Amino acid sequence: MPAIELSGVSKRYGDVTALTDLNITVDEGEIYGFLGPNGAGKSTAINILLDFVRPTTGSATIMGYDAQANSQAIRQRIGVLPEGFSVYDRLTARKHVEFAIDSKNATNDPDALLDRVGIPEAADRKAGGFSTGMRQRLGLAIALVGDPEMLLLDEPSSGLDPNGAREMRSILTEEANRGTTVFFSSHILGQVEAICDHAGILQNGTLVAEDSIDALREATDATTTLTVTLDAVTDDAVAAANAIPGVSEVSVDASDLVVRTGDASKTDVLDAIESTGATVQDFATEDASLDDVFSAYTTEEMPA
Amino acid sequence: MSWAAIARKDFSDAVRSKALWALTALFVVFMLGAAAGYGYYFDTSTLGLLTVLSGPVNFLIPITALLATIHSISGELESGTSKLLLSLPHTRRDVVIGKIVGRSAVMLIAVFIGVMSAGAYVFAVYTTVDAINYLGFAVFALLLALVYTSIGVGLSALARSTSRSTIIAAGFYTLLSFVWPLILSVVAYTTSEDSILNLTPGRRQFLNQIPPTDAITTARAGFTSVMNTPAALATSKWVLLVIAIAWLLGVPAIGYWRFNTRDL
Repeated sequence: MPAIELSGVSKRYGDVTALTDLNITVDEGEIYGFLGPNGAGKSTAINILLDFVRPTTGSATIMGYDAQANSQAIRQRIGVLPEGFSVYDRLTARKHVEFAIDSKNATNDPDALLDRVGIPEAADRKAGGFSTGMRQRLGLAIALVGDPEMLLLDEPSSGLDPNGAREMRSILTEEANRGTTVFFSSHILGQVEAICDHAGILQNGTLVAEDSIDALREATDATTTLTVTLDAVTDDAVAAANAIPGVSEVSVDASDLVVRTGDASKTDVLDAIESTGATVQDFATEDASLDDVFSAYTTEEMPA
Repeated sequence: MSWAAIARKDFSDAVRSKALWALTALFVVFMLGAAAGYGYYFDTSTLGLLTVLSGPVNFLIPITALLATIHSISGELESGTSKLLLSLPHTRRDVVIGKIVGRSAVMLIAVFIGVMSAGAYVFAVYTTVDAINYLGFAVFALLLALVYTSIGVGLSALARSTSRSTIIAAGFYTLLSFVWPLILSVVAYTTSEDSILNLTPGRRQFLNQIPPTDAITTARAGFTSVMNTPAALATSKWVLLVIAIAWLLGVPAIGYWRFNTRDL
């Protein structure tokens, strides 16, 4: 049984489409990073899993429970850090955690949880005066109440400084080591890459890539971009480069020939180009990083 | 039973924000003040006091209950605390019920202490004491508080912003207190006897008892059998009680339906 399953989920708000036919499967015990730029639809997908938002079509399950019909049973078993939540201004941090413990019939020690997320000194302070980072930490403490089997976190690092973001990641890793499934969204690749087993990239409401982090990295590591500056770019040169086995794409940028290769050697490409009579004036190679893949997917122009 | 956690939180919020004390002080000052003032300046008879007190109580309790509840759900939707609340294992029905129970407890305590403090004064000082009638007044004041608290939470669940829920509550109160009787008068005076809209005095009296305040006030008169108003005789006191309960359940049911079909 998958921990999370979204099947053909679409969500439309009037004329605006937030999600299109989204299919995601997350296995038990893995850390799944849900990547995408702001506005891609990540929160909508997470809100559908929480039954905050109802899908236009499709269905979602968590641990086999239908997200709409059995939402309460789901939320009893998982820990949630929602997007755009507010704290109760008049309640102290401890009262917040106590309310979550009361709501979940859990037996955690509120102070131990606040200590774990790094705000033990704020236990008796009213949350109304908290910084966004402290609110986010308090949200994580609430999510950890009841030692949930799954954590569902929407942009957990938002509002945190780099140090705080690192602490957040180490808590997520600890939880995952305990066997907890972790599903979290982010618009920053680095936060996902560091700890995830699998990642999905969402763009304009559509899942544009999904694989294990290793496979994504492998796919991108294998791609080298060779930029060759010629005295004059000729059709022959383009054809010659294209003919080399292992070359996936050749494009022209002014007097540069941009060649994407998998396993073709640099020398083969340069030799082939020079054999057409062109003179290579300069060349540069660049290995693609996961970052490039992410930005390639997420900086695509919006469809009109 | 998850609504109980919400009710407990809501109640302790009211204690923490001193709203409970403020409301209690309001009702004690108002009711004890009325009992003392009436006894001092007019006469020391419960019946006289209750006749004078009825109007202001029928205004004060509904308004206070609506003010105390109208942001109860819309405020959480507006600020985003609803996301925190609903990421915990509460259903939206738990939220509506929990808010009604929590805020009803606050209103009932405040009204109860107000009524009892005035009652203590009456029993100690007044010369003509009608215990049954006073008790009837107390019970129906509590019922009035209960019904308007439920209505307020139900109306709050209809909106996602505090400004809109305030407008809804003001509209609701205005409609039932002023517009409804006006409509009945206009219909009564403009329709001929053979029209289907013709309001016989009996029908009109019944329709006049539809708003919650009227239903409860007339029911009290019927049950305590002291104020033999024609309206009390025209409509069974049990029917009036059913009308009051229908408001208590109906408005939150509609509010819940709207809240439950909404994307957060």
